[in-house]
Amino acid sequence: MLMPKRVKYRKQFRGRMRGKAQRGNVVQFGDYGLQAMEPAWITSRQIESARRAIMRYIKRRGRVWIRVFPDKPVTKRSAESRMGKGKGSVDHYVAVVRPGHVLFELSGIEEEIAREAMRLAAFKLPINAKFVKRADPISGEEVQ
Amino acid sequence: MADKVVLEATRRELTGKQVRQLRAAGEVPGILYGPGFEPVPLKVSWVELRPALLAAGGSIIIDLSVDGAKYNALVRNVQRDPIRGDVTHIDFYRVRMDVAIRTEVPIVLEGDLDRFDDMDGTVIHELTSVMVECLPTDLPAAITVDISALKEIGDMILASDLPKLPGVSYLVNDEDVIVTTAYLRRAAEEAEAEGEGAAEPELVRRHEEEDEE
Repeated sequence: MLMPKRVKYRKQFRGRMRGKAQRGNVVQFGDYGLQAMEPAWITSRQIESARRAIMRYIKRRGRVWIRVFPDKPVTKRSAESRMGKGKGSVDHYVAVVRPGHVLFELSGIEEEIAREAMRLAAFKLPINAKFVKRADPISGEEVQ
Repeated sequence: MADKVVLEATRRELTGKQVRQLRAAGEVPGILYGPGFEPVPLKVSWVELRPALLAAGGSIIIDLSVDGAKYNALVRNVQRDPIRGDVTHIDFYRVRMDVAIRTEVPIVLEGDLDRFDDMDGTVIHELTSVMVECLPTDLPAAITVDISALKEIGDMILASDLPKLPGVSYLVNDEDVIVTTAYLRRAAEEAEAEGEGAAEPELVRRHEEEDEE
């Protein structure tokens, strides 16, 4: 599963998830992408699960890019512990995703296969996500 | 040089957050700027802009008229809503026909892209546009790269192989890869390997950094 190799601080504040994705919102590397439609914390387990769903469906052909990285630690208090005594220990890592963020990209396969792979991957995520294709940045026309 | 595209625009007085009113009325706010030229805030009807954008892209000169005054302009930047894809703002760059300009031109592949399917390989288009410097009159709409030179998996076309066009110089390293070929299965396996391995992240401590210094 994806997680940071080194961190500067072990625990973080929760932060906010307002607004839309201002970066990472276009298909950059592949031909097809899966774009988030809602804000969410996406855990490394969910990313891995979605990636496996894609890999399994495309039968390990094609190229896959994972455009999100879970770099935010989420803490959890141990079971049956009383309030106080400081913040809990790090439980897992999440990626903060805002609407518009392209989560996965695919290339080297037919559109129908990519569409179905992304549909299956979207089931593994806690948000609505849509299938997108690479477009010219100026004209907005789909690039073949 | 490809044919010019004609577009009508009008000066706009609304600025800042007020431009939302324009968008609601089906107009796109924009700006026209260029070297030694006072920027002109303008607005364009989306109904007229859409076909012009499709026809011109970023590498065909637009015959832009703003309240009757005519300018030669290139579309330099288009801001879009990340979800709906609506154009929220457009930048036009005014060009002088006697001064060389730098702009991105798309690279278009010519040939059969599926020819490596039998070998379980694929053609990967690494560089989809290239920065060029030329006079506006010499500006190509797109650069066509013939991929028939790719014979085996592992072959690649470099920036040094780009077609030589009169008056056009490429602002790119000769070693940059335009198109390459790769085995699909191997690429997928590499991605698989990346996903494995999990351990506690190492904490970067300030005193450790000081020790290193």
